[in-house]
Amino acid sequence: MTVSDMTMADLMSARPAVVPVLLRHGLACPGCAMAPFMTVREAADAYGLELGVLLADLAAADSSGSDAGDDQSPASEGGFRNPRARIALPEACRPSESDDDRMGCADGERSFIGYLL
Amino acid sequence: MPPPPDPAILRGMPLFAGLDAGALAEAVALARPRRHPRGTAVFAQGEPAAAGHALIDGRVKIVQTGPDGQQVVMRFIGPGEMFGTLAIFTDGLYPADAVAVADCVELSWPAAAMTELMDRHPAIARNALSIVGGRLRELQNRLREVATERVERRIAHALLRLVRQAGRRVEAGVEIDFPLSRQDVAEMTGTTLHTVSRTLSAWEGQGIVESGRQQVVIRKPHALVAIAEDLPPVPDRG
Repeated sequence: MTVSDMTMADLMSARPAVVPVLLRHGLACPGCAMAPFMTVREAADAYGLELGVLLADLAAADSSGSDAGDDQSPASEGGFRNPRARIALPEACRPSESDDDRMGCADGERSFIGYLL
Repeated sequence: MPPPPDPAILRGMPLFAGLDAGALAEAVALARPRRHPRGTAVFAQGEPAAAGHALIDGRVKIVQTGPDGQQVVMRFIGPGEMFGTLAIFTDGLYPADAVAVADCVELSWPAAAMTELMDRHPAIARNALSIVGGRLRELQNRLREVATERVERRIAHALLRLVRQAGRRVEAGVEIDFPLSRQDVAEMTGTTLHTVSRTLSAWEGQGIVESGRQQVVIRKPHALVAIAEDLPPVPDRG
Protein backbone atom coordinates (compact mmCIF):
# COMPACT_ATOMS: atom_id res chain seq x y z
CA MET A 1 0.00 0.00 0.00
CA THR A 2 1.33 3.42 -0.86
CA VAL A 3 1.43 6.21 1.68
CA SER A 4 -1.30 8.09 -0.17
CA ASP A 5 -3.69 5.15 0.33
CA MET A 6 -2.95 4.72 4.04
CA THR A 7 -5.51 6.07 6.44
CA MET A 8 -4.40 9.13 8.36
CA ALA A 9 -4.75 7.20 11.64
CA ASP A 10 -2.46 4.39 10.40
CA LEU A 11 0.07 6.89 9.13
CA MET A 12 0.13 8.83 12.41
CA SER A 13 0.42 5.70 14.52
CA ALA A 14 3.16 4.23 12.32
CA ARG A 15 4.98 7.55 12.03
CA PRO A 16 4.25 9.94 14.91
CA ALA A 17 6.83 12.31 13.44
CA VAL A 18 4.35 13.27 10.72
CA VAL A 19 2.01 14.91 13.24
CA PRO A 20 3.78 18.30 13.30
CA VAL A 21 3.96 18.20 9.50
CA LEU A 22 0.19 17.72 9.30
CA LEU A 23 -0.40 20.55 11.75
CA ARG A 24 1.96 22.81 9.82
CA HIS A 25 -0.16 22.18 6.72
CA GLY A 26 -3.26 23.17 8.69
CA LEU A 27 -4.67 19.62 8.78
CA ALA A 28 -6.79 18.82 11.83
CA CYS A 29 -6.22 15.05 11.47
CA PRO A 30 -4.38 14.45 14.79
CA GLY A 31 -7.08 13.43 17.26
CA CYS A 32 -9.83 13.64 14.63
CA ALA A 33 -12.65 11.09 14.72
CA MET A 34 -12.43 10.75 10.93
CA ALA A 35 -8.70 9.93 10.84
CA PRO A 36 -9.24 6.13 10.84
CA PHE A 37 -11.48 6.40 7.80
CA MET A 38 -9.77 8.90 5.53
CA THR A 39 -6.71 8.26 3.43
CA VAL A 40 -3.85 10.71 3.01
CA ARG A 41 -5.04 11.28 -0.55
CA GLU A 42 -8.58 12.10 0.61
CA ALA A 43 -7.29 14.42 3.31
CA ALA A 44 -5.15 16.31 0.82
CA ASP A 45 -8.15 16.63 -1.44
CA ALA A 46 -10.45 17.77 1.38
CA TYR A 47 -8.01 20.52 2.38
CA GLY A 48 -7.26 21.55 -1.18
CA LEU A 49 -3.59 20.61 -0.87
CA GLU A 50 -1.40 19.26 -3.65
CA LEU A 51 -0.98 15.57 -2.79
CA GLY A 52 2.60 15.46 -4.05
CA VAL A 53 3.66 18.39 -1.88
CA LEU A 54 2.07 16.85 1.20
CA LEU A 55 3.63 13.43 0.51
CA ALA A 56 7.06 14.96 0.05
CA ASP A 57 6.80 16.82 3.34
CA LEU A 58 5.51 13.71 5.13
CA ALA A 59 8.38 11.68 3.70
CA ALA A 60 10.84 14.28 4.88
CA ALA A 61 9.51 14.20 8.45
CA ASP A 62 12.21 13.38 10.95
CA SER A 63 12.23 9.62 11.49
CA SER A 64 13.77 9.78 14.97
CA GLY A 65 10.38 9.62 16.65
CA SER A 66 9.70 5.97 15.86
CA ASP A 67 11.33 2.69 16.77
CA ALA A 68 14.05 1.66 14.40
CA GLY A 69 13.75 -1.93 13.34
CA ASP A 70 9.98 -2.02 13.60
CA ASP A 71 9.52 -3.77 10.30
CA GLN A 72 5.78 -4.13 10.76
CA SER A 73 5.36 -0.47 10.06
CA PRO A 74 3.41 0.06 6.88
CA ALA A 75 5.46 3.20 6.41
CA SER A 76 8.58 1.22 5.58
CA GLU A 77 7.34 0.76 2.06
CA GLY A 78 7.08 4.49 1.77
CA GLY A 79 10.81 4.86 2.28
CA PHE A 80 10.61 6.77 5.56
CA ARG A 81 13.37 4.60 7.00
CA ASN A 82 15.76 5.89 4.44
CA PRO A 83 17.94 8.46 6.19
CA ARG A 84 18.04 10.39 2.96
CA ALA A 85 14.34 11.01 3.42
CA ARG A 86 15.32 13.76 5.83
CA ILE A 87 16.81 15.81 3.05
CA ALA A 88 14.51 18.68 2.30
CA LEU A 89 13.57 18.72 -1.35
CA PRO A 90 13.71 21.90 -3.36
CA GLU A 91 10.27 23.17 -4.23
CA ALA A 92 10.71 22.45 -7.93
CA CYS A 93 11.54 18.83 -7.23
CA ARG A 94 8.45 18.06 -5.25
CA PRO A 95 6.36 15.64 -7.23
CA SER A 96 2.73 16.23 -7.90
CA GLU A 97 0.21 13.48 -8.17
CA SER A 98 0.33 12.64 -11.83
CA ASP A 99 3.14 14.46 -13.53
CA ASP A 100 6.21 12.47 -12.66
CA ASP A 101 7.61 13.24 -16.08
CA ARG A 102 7.26 16.98 -15.81
CA MET A 103 8.86 17.74 -12.49
CA GLY A 104 11.80 19.59 -13.86
CA CYS A 105 14.27 17.42 -12.00
CA ALA A 106 17.25 15.56 -13.34
CA ASP A 107 16.69 11.83 -13.81
CA GLY A 108 18.61 10.87 -10.70
CA GLU A 109 16.58 13.20 -8.52
CA ARG A 110 13.35 11.93 -9.96
CA SER A 111 14.10 8.32 -9.21
CA PHE A 112 15.11 9.35 -5.70
CA ILE A 113 11.74 10.99 -5.24
CA GLY A 114 10.04 7.99 -6.75
CA TYR A 115 11.71 5.89 -4.08
CA LEU A 116 10.51 8.22 -1.37
CA LEU A 117 6.94 7.91 -2.51
CA MET B 1 -30.38 -18.30 27.93
CA PRO B 2 -27.12 -18.28 25.96
CA PRO B 3 -24.54 -20.93 26.79
CA PRO B 4 -21.93 -20.07 29.45
CA PRO B 5 -19.55 -17.60 27.83
CA ASP B 6 -15.96 -18.32 26.90
CA PRO B 7 -13.45 -16.13 28.85
CA ALA B 8 -12.12 -15.03 25.46
CA ILE B 9 -15.12 -12.71 25.07
CA LEU B 10 -13.63 -10.49 27.77
CA ARG B 11 -10.43 -9.99 25.78
CA GLY B 12 -10.23 -6.55 24.27
CA MET B 13 -12.70 -5.19 26.81
CA PRO B 14 -11.17 -2.10 28.42
CA LEU B 15 -12.66 -3.02 31.82
CA PHE B 16 -10.59 -6.22 31.86
CA ALA B 17 -7.45 -4.95 30.13
CA GLY B 18 -4.19 -6.32 31.51
CA LEU B 19 -5.75 -9.32 33.28
CA ASP B 20 -4.26 -12.78 32.88
CA ALA B 21 -6.23 -15.79 31.64
CA GLY B 22 -6.94 -16.98 35.19
CA ALA B 23 -8.47 -13.65 36.21
CA LEU B 24 -10.54 -13.50 33.02
CA ALA B 25 -11.87 -16.99 33.70
CA GLU B 26 -12.77 -15.92 37.22
CA ALA B 27 -14.58 -12.82 35.92
CA VAL B 28 -16.52 -14.75 33.34
CA ALA B 29 -17.51 -17.42 35.86
CA LEU B 30 -19.21 -14.74 37.98
CA ALA B 31 -20.99 -13.14 35.01
CA ARG B 32 -24.59 -13.68 33.97
CA PRO B 33 -25.19 -13.66 30.23
CA ARG B 34 -28.50 -12.29 28.98
CA ARG B 35 -30.07 -11.48 25.63
CA HIS B 36 -32.12 -8.33 25.12
CA PRO B 37 -34.16 -8.07 21.91
CA ARG B 38 -34.16 -4.72 20.16
CA GLY B 39 -36.49 -2.23 21.86
CA THR B 40 -36.42 -3.80 25.32
CA ALA B 41 -35.03 -2.27 28.51
CA VAL B 42 -31.85 -3.63 30.10
CA PHE B 43 -32.56 -1.61 33.24
CA ALA B 44 -34.68 1.39 34.14
CA GLN B 45 -33.91 4.76 35.71
CA GLY B 46 -34.51 4.73 39.46
CA GLU B 47 -34.38 0.95 39.84
CA PRO B 48 -32.02 -0.44 42.47
CA ALA B 49 -28.67 -1.04 40.77
CA ALA B 50 -28.21 -4.72 41.35
CA ALA B 51 -25.34 -5.28 38.93
CA GLY B 52 -22.54 -3.96 36.77
CA HIS B 53 -22.93 -4.51 33.04
CA ALA B 54 -20.83 -5.03 29.93
CA LEU B 55 -22.12 -5.24 26.38
CA ILE B 56 -20.91 -8.16 24.26
CA ASP B 57 -22.87 -7.48 21.12
CA GLY B 58 -25.45 -4.98 19.91
CA ARG B 59 -26.04 -1.36 20.93
CA VAL B 60 -27.55 0.14 24.08
CA LYS B 61 -28.84 3.67 24.47
CA ILE B 62 -28.46 5.31 27.89
CA VAL B 63 -31.20 7.89 28.25
CA GLN B 64 -32.07 9.99 31.27
CA THR B 65 -35.52 11.52 31.81
CA GLY B 66 -35.90 14.76 33.77
CA PRO B 67 -38.75 15.57 36.17
CA ASP B 68 -40.50 17.42 33.32
CA GLY B 69 -40.33 14.37 31.07
CA GLN B 70 -37.56 15.78 28.84
CA GLN B 71 -35.16 13.06 27.76
CA VAL B 72 -31.42 13.34 27.24
CA VAL B 73 -29.38 10.67 25.50
CA MET B 74 -26.33 10.35 27.73
CA ARG B 75 -24.44 8.03 25.41
CA PHE B 76 -24.61 4.96 23.23
CA ILE B 77 -22.85 1.84 24.45
CA GLY B 78 -21.13 -0.40 21.91
CA PRO B 79 -19.71 -3.93 22.07
CA GLY B 80 -16.98 -4.25 24.69
CA GLU B 81 -18.09 -1.26 26.77
CA MET B 82 -19.21 -1.31 30.38
CA PHE B 83 -22.38 0.48 31.45
CA GLY B 84 -24.64 0.89 34.47
CA THR B 85 -21.76 -0.01 36.75
CA LEU B 86 -21.21 3.24 38.61
CA ALA B 87 -24.51 3.10 40.50
CA ILE B 88 -23.17 0.19 42.55
CA PHE B 89 -20.60 2.60 43.97
CA THR B 90 -22.83 5.67 44.30
CA ASP B 91 -26.43 5.80 45.51
CA GLY B 92 -27.38 2.29 44.43
CA LEU B 93 -29.97 3.45 41.88
CA TYR B 94 -29.59 3.34 38.09
CA PRO B 95 -29.37 6.99 36.99
CA ALA B 96 -30.86 6.39 33.53
CA ASP B 97 -32.67 3.90 31.33
CA ALA B 98 -30.63 1.47 29.25
CA VAL B 99 -32.53 0.44 26.13
CA ALA B 100 -31.39 -2.09 23.53
CA VAL B 101 -31.50 -0.30 20.17
CA ALA B 102 -30.31 -3.45 18.40
CA ASP B 103 -30.52 -7.08 19.51
CA CYS B 104 -28.05 -7.29 22.39
CA VAL B 105 -26.07 -9.78 24.42
CA GLU B 106 -24.75 -8.49 27.73
CA LEU B 107 -22.93 -9.80 30.73
CA SER B 108 -23.78 -8.55 34.18
CA TRP B 109 -22.09 -9.03 37.52
CA PRO B 110 -24.13 -8.80 40.72
CA ALA B 111 -22.88 -5.89 42.85
CA ALA B 112 -21.19 -8.22 45.36
CA ALA B 113 -19.42 -10.12 42.57
CA MET B 114 -18.19 -6.92 40.90
CA THR B 115 -16.87 -5.57 44.19
CA GLU B 116 -15.17 -8.87 44.95
CA LEU B 117 -13.55 -8.95 41.49
CA MET B 118 -12.23 -5.43 41.99
CA ASP B 119 -10.86 -6.32 45.41
CA ARG B 120 -9.08 -9.38 44.08
CA HIS B 121 -7.90 -7.74 40.86
CA PRO B 122 -7.27 -4.03 41.44
CA ALA B 123 -6.55 -3.66 37.71
CA ILE B 124 -10.33 -3.91 37.13
CA ALA B 125 -10.91 -0.98 39.48
CA ARG B 126 -8.14 1.02 37.80
CA ASN B 127 -9.60 0.22 34.38
CA ALA B 128 -13.04 1.32 35.57
CA LEU B 129 -11.54 4.58 36.84
CA SER B 130 -9.93 5.21 33.49
CA ILE B 131 -13.21 4.48 31.65
CA VAL B 132 -15.12 6.77 34.00
CA GLY B 133 -12.46 9.46 33.59
CA GLY B 134 -12.79 9.28 29.81
CA ARG B 135 -16.55 9.58 30.01
CA LEU B 136 -16.32 12.47 32.46
CA ARG B 137 -14.05 14.28 30.05
CA GLU B 138 -16.52 13.64 27.24
CA LEU B 139 -19.39 14.99 29.34
CA GLN B 140 -17.33 18.05 30.26
CA ASN B 141 -16.84 18.68 26.56
CA ARG B 142 -20.55 18.28 25.94
CA LEU B 143 -21.39 20.64 28.78
CA ARG B 144 -19.06 23.24 27.33
CA GLU B 145 -20.56 22.73 23.88
CA VAL B 146 -24.11 23.13 25.19
CA ALA B 147 -23.10 26.24 27.13
CA THR B 148 -21.07 27.96 24.44
CA GLU B 149 -21.54 26.56 20.96
CA ARG B 150 -24.13 27.26 18.37
CA VAL B 151 -26.34 24.33 17.64
CA GLU B 152 -24.78 23.35 14.30
CA ARG B 153 -21.43 22.77 15.98
CA ARG B 154 -23.06 20.74 18.74
CA ILE B 155 -24.78 18.49 16.21
CA ALA B 156 -21.56 18.10 14.24
CA HIS B 157 -19.69 17.19 17.44
CA ALA B 158 -22.35 14.65 18.38
CA LEU B 159 -22.04 12.95 14.98
CA LEU B 160 -18.24 12.93 15.26
CA ARG B 161 -18.44 11.31 18.69
CA LEU B 162 -20.66 8.61 17.21
CA VAL B 163 -18.23 8.15 14.32
CA ARG B 164 -15.40 7.71 16.80
CA GLN B 165 -17.42 5.07 18.61
CA ALA B 166 -19.18 3.30 15.76
CA GLY B 167 -17.89 4.65 12.45
CA ARG B 168 -17.59 2.34 9.47
CA ARG B 169 -16.08 3.15 6.11
CA VAL B 170 -18.55 2.64 3.28
CA GLU B 171 -18.39 3.54 -0.38
CA ALA B 172 -20.33 6.78 0.08
CA GLY B 173 -18.30 7.95 3.08
CA VAL B 174 -18.39 7.10 6.78
CA GLU B 175 -21.47 5.46 8.22
CA ILE B 176 -22.62 5.51 11.84
CA ASP B 177 -23.16 1.81 12.20
CA PHE B 178 -26.32 1.55 14.29
CA PRO B 179 -29.90 2.81 14.18
CA LEU B 180 -29.85 6.51 15.00
CA SER B 181 -32.91 8.74 14.77
CA ARG B 182 -33.04 12.52 14.49
CA GLN B 183 -34.78 12.51 17.87
CA ASP B 184 -31.71 10.73 19.32
CA VAL B 185 -29.47 13.46 17.91
CA ALA B 186 -31.75 16.13 19.40
CA GLU B 187 -31.59 14.43 22.78
CA MET B 188 -27.79 14.22 22.56
CA THR B 189 -27.35 17.88 21.77
CA GLY B 190 -29.95 19.59 23.96
CA THR B 191 -31.97 20.87 21.05
CA THR B 192 -35.26 20.10 19.36
CA LEU B 193 -36.17 17.58 16.70
CA HIS B 194 -37.15 20.50 14.49
CA THR B 195 -33.69 22.06 14.74
CA VAL B 196 -31.92 18.76 14.07
CA SER B 197 -34.14 18.14 11.04
CA ARG B 198 -33.52 21.63 9.69
CA THR B 199 -29.77 21.32 10.23
CA LEU B 200 -29.44 17.84 8.75
CA SER B 201 -31.60 18.83 5.77
CA ALA B 202 -29.33 21.79 5.12
CA TRP B 203 -26.27 19.53 5.33
CA GLU B 204 -27.94 17.04 3.02
CA GLY B 205 -28.50 19.85 0.56
CA GLN B 206 -24.76 20.55 0.67
CA GLY B 207 -23.95 16.86 0.22
CA ILE B 208 -22.27 16.67 3.64
CA VAL B 209 -24.49 13.96 5.13
CA GLU B 210 -27.11 11.54 3.95
CA SER B 211 -29.64 10.35 6.47
CA GLY B 212 -32.34 7.77 6.18
CA ARG B 213 -34.93 7.22 8.87
CA GLN B 214 -32.45 5.45 11.16
CA GLN B 215 -29.14 5.66 9.32
CA VAL B 216 -26.60 8.44 8.95
CA VAL B 217 -23.77 8.49 6.43
CA ILE B 218 -21.24 11.31 6.42
CA ARG B 219 -20.43 11.86 2.77
CA LYS B 220 -18.01 14.73 3.25
CA PRO B 221 -16.20 13.88 6.49
CA HIS B 222 -13.93 16.89 6.38
CA ALA B 223 -16.82 19.30 5.87
CA LEU B 224 -18.44 17.99 9.05
CA VAL B 225 -15.15 18.33 10.96
CA ALA B 226 -14.83 21.88 9.63
CA ILE B 227 -18.27 22.74 11.06
CA ALA B 228 -17.52 21.08 14.40
CA GLU B 229 -14.12 22.72 14.81
CA ASP B 230 -14.86 26.04 13.12
CA LEU B 231 -12.12 25.38 10.57
CA PRO B 232 -11.79 27.64 7.55
CA PRO B 233 -14.27 26.73 4.80
CA VAL B 234 -13.32 23.87 2.51
CA PRO B 235 -12.03 25.06 -0.85
CA ASP B 236 -14.43 23.82 -3.49
CA ARG B 237 -12.38 22.27 -6.24
CA GLY B 238 -15.34 20.86 -8.11
